[in-house]
Amino acid sequence: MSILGNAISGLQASQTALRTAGHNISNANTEGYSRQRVDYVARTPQSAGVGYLGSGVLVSSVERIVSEYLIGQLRTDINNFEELNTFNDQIGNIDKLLADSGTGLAEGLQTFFASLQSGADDPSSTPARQLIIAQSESLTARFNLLYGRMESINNGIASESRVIISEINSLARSIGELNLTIQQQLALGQGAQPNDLLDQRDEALKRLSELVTIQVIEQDAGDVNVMIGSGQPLVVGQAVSQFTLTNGNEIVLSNAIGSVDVTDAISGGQLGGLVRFREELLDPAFNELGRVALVMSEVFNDIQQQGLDLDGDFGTPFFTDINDAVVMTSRVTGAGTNQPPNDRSIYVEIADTGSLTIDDYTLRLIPNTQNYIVTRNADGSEVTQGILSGAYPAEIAFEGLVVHLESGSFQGGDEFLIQPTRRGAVDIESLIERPEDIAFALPIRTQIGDGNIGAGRISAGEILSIVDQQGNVLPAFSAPGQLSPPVVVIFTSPTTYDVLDNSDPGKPVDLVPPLRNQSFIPNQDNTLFSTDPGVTIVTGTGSSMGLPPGRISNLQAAGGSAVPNGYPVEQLTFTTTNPTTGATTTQSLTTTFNSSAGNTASLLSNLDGVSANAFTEAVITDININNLTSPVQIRLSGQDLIGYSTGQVASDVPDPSVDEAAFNTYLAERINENQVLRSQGIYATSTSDPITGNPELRILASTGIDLDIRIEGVAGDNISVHDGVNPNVRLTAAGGGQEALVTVGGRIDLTLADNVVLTTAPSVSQFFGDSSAADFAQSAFMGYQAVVSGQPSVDDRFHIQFNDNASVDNRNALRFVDLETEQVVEQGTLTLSESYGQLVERVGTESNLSQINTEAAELLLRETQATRDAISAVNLDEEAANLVRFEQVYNANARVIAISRDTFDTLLNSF
Amino acid sequence: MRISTTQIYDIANVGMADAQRAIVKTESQISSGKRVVNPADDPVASTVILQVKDFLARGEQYVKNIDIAENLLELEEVALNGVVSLMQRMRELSVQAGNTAVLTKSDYLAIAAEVDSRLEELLNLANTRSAGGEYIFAGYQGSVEPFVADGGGGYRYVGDEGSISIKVSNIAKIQVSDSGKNIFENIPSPVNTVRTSVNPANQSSPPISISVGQVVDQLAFDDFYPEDMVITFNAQGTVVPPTTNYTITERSSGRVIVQNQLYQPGEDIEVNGVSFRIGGVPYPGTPATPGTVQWGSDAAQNFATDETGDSLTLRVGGITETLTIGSNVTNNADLVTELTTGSNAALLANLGIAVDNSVVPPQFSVASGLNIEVDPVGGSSPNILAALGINSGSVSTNGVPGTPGDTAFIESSNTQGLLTTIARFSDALKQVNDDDNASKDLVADVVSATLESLDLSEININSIQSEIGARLNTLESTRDLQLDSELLNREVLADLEDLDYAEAATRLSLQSFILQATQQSFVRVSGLSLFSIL
Repeated sequence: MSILGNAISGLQASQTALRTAGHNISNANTEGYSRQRVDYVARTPQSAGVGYLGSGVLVSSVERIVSEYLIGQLRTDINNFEELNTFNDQIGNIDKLLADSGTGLAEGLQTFFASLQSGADDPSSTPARQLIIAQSESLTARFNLLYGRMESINNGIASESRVIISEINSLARSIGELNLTIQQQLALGQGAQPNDLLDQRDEALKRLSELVTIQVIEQDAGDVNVMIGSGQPLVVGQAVSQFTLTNGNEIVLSNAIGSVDVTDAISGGQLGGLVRFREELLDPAFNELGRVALVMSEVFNDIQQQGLDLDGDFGTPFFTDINDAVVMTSRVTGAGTNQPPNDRSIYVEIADTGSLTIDDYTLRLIPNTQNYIVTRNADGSEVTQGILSGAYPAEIAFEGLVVHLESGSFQGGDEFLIQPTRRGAVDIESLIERPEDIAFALPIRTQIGDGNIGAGRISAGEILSIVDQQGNVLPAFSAPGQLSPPVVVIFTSPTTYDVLDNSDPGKPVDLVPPLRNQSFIPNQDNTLFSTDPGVTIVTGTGSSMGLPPGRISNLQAAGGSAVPNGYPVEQLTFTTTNPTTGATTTQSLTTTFNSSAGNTASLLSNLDGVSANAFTEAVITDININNLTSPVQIRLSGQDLIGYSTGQVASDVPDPSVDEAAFNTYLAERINENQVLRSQGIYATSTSDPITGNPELRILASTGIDLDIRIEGVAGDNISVHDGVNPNVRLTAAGGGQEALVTVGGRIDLTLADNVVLTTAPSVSQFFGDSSAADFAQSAFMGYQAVVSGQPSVDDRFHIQFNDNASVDNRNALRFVDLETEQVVEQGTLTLSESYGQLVERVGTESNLSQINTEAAELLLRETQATRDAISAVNLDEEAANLVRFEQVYNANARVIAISRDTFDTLLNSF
Repeated sequence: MRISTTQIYDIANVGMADAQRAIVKTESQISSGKRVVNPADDPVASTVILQVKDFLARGEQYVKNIDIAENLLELEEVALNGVVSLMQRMRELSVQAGNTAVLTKSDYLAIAAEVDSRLEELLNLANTRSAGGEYIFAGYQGSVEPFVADGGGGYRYVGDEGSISIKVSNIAKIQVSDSGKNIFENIPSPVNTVRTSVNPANQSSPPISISVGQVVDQLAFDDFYPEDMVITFNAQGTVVPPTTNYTITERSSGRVIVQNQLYQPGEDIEVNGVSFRIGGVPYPGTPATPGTVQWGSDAAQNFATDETGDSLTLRVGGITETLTIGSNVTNNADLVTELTTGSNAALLANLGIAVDNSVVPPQFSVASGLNIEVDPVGGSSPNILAALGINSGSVSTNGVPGTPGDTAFIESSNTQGLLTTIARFSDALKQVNDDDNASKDLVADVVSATLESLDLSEININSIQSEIGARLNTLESTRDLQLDSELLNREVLADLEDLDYAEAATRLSLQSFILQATQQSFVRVSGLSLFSIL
């Protein structure tokens, strides 16, 4: 019987082999199928005395031909390729979008600036202005369009992520189920491998790797555990966790134990590619585009609002205000984990567009403290930190931003996402609707006085700002259709001038605060005003200045020394606050008793941020000299004013008792011709009192030296002296070689730079008045500037006035035009178009790199796939050959049966 | 190595896909003519391309700007050429008019007629408008006619000193206009002249006007020069009977030149050699309300004690005076006499205080409207204060200084406008009478002054013309530079961006060949199967 038995076992074995070959052939196209092979062993031989006789063949197992190493490698490679490929697909969209001349910003900016140039060429042309409006609308539309397209890419990413995540979930589920089945089959098959199930599970793992990076850990029982990210379990045996995508684009993994945000842990695969694209490219692209929009809005609005439109009104904003209340609120998002009540009012103001970065930030209030910390989202680095007082509103400033914590229940542990630039490109809107509303003219123009004799010139003038540091409109521009007030520069000597309020040109008056006795250097550019927006002026109105009330004349032998000016000893302390750090430094000066205003001023001017301007004014009135003969004399700072000739009063001296005005004119000429007095900056004019019309001799010392005024003469001759502010002092001669004298001191006006504050000891200063008074230091920032040069003569005037009817003034238009090449972005290093160009370049480079990387990864993947296929995939020719072989074996075994039958038959027939 | 069937198909698939992708890319390069289709193709080049394109677009605009600038400057040049040739004719007429010995009144009238028509022409040139209808010599105020006749034979410039610039390169702006003031007004005058204006802050409506003014007595005016004058209208009540009147003061010193002159609209006013006319109804200002302190206002007057030698300090404004009482006063009449005679009178005058006897008891009164402070710092004798019935430190509160009315200015100047020069010339010609030698002498003077003025005007206009020429030259060279750099940049752009067609065509044929070969080999290989033989 053993022949038959052997043959039957051979038949069975061949059938199994044929069936397996057929299985291989039918699965030649099945994804992930590994070809199977039948292994045989010879049956246990039977002892037959002569030895062991073979008892046929036995199918020991059906194996799949796989390399576990290659399966793992394939997962890695496909994971890598899918990530890069997804990234590459996405970047291709945005790359084209940004660079295309139809959708990109570059051409929009170009045509917008070109239209502004045409406007500047012909500022009164309505069509040219209309074109600017059209172009600015089309430019903002481009911003909005780009934002919209990027937003739809972003939404596309979200929905794609959702699909991928549900696929991950279903793959994870099927892996869990397969784990169970495989375990059961293994148990049933007593160790026989469920080949096709294993293939299916490997395929599911490969599919999962396409979507996201996984770690596969084989278990002894035949099941596999799948981890993602940094070891979060996705599949453990049959237990499967669930992925979800929140509305905030966060990926959350949840299972029976709880939920955990794994967004940052996700890498690789299609999902990783999407996350990486959004974080590394799309978000910065949103921000860069937003920043261009914000900077452009701000610089255009600034210039527009500093100009005059065709109707003579100050320009209204060109684009949406970047610090619109709604927009400021939209820049900050509270984390969902912030503890209730959700009544926090917080918003982000952009204080300086030049300092804007394209980063997003996170503000964290540290639990159980008053501390806060701001970090940069891109790299987690610390931007700033500090301590909140706990009282609101509070402000946190960094990198051009001011975060306003307005009110509400801010608590430790609160977290806020700050996106200053994200929505810039969608919020921008062109606001100008009427062509007349574009502000091409500057609000001021300058004019040389009609009666000027000297060769002085004044520049056309420029606008520095129309608002003060707090953002309030400066007084000069506070009323429409006028400069408040118009100013006039009047030269009081060839080297000094006053700047006066020219509201009534018939009677110019001091500005508030006064800008008087400014020094002028002929033939140089002399700027009229401070460009420091925080500049203040402290006016020398102290009670001891000049010729204070209560002072009386002294009487002493002629030629004696001057009376001291009586100026007190005071301590002047200047505190400078550093605006960024808040640190303060102080400088102190103690004045010297009786020191002249000029000397004190020059000491003060040596201090940082302090500029002191001293001048002395004395007025001589009511000259009563009844006997114009020797020894009559009026002396100014030691110089004789009445001319003598051979011991007698010169004949050309007018008699003051006859014509006091002529006498004053004579004295003025004597003073102005005197080299000694001139070197002390002394200049005199013969004038008359504006109310009474009485003649006066006004003496001005631009250096702030003491003016020592004396009279000698017959007893009773007298003059009256005052300092222009305080009551007069009468000097009465006593004869007998004596002279009556008085000293008029100077006044000091202080110009203090931004953040410099003066405190005095005593607090009511005899130099400057009450230093605790609110109007002690008054802002002197005019908001505009003009330059006087050349050689003006005394009483020459230069006007700065409102620029009405200026239909062809294009000075402001040229400022718009200049913005095209002005580096206004990133701390003054990039122009608007360069900033956008930087974005295009970055995306282009990334795109180029990702193409190369994708191709490389694809090659690797193909290589691994080929190696795997070489080992595990079905070769039909091979199977055909196997079929032929197994058929032959089958036939042979059948033949053995036939022979065995023949043998049996022969044996039967022999009976 | 073992090959599986799938591999045979995969290899063919991948090979064909690669080849097709390469062909499509080459095709898109060929059809667009661009080497760089997407920035990813060559990120560095594409950034440079963006910059170069930006530069080219700007350059194109600059060339347009240069054209516009040239047009504007040429328009100005044409106008100025017209002015120069007109001045040539004017010079001929002046020389002709200088023949005072032979020309008669009718000759002068004929010359004057031509001068007038030339003046009209000059006015048109000075009020030249651009194609857009803007006055080109009005500074910033393109819609305001810059030169207007004032009806008094003079012309006034009402534009401003603004000038327009156009940007012609990244760094250069070229001035394309000159203000009429620089061209026609700021012409040095051979003699000292005046410029008149009314205060823009005047309150009259319609505002008062002032004629351009003329120096009629040069010697008198030269004495006054370079001072300026202010004409201030006063409250009517300042003269008797009340009527509109004005005061003229020297601006720098405030000194009064003439006071309380009666005003007749349009009447010639001559002061310091300057003649001018004011028209309209001026706002007169408000009169001062005197500041008064009536005796006995703080306490009953008490003459009981002897006041001889007492001192009394009074302050008005910044002036303080101390009066000394010479004798005992026993009643108000004594007191009035004591205060208003001798040195006390002068001291009261210094303060502007009058003793007003018209009320009982009398009062101190300051007509200017300033207030009086009695014994401001203390130190007056109590007896005299008791006699006055006024406490130490008592201040009047009812004084209100008057406010000035409308003002007008006459400013000394060393320039005279061309139009005014010619108008005055015409005026002098029309004044000639055959038998009046003085009028002919005047013509001779005016002719020589006019000739000098014309020379100076021509110098001024020539210098502006040469400035315009220089600007046009700059424009020309800027344009050349712009075009040169455009050419250069176009080459750079072509190098970076443009496709080398020969190379692309060769590449395309190679790529097509590869695709074909891949397809053919696939057909061959896939046809080989053992099953087909079984």
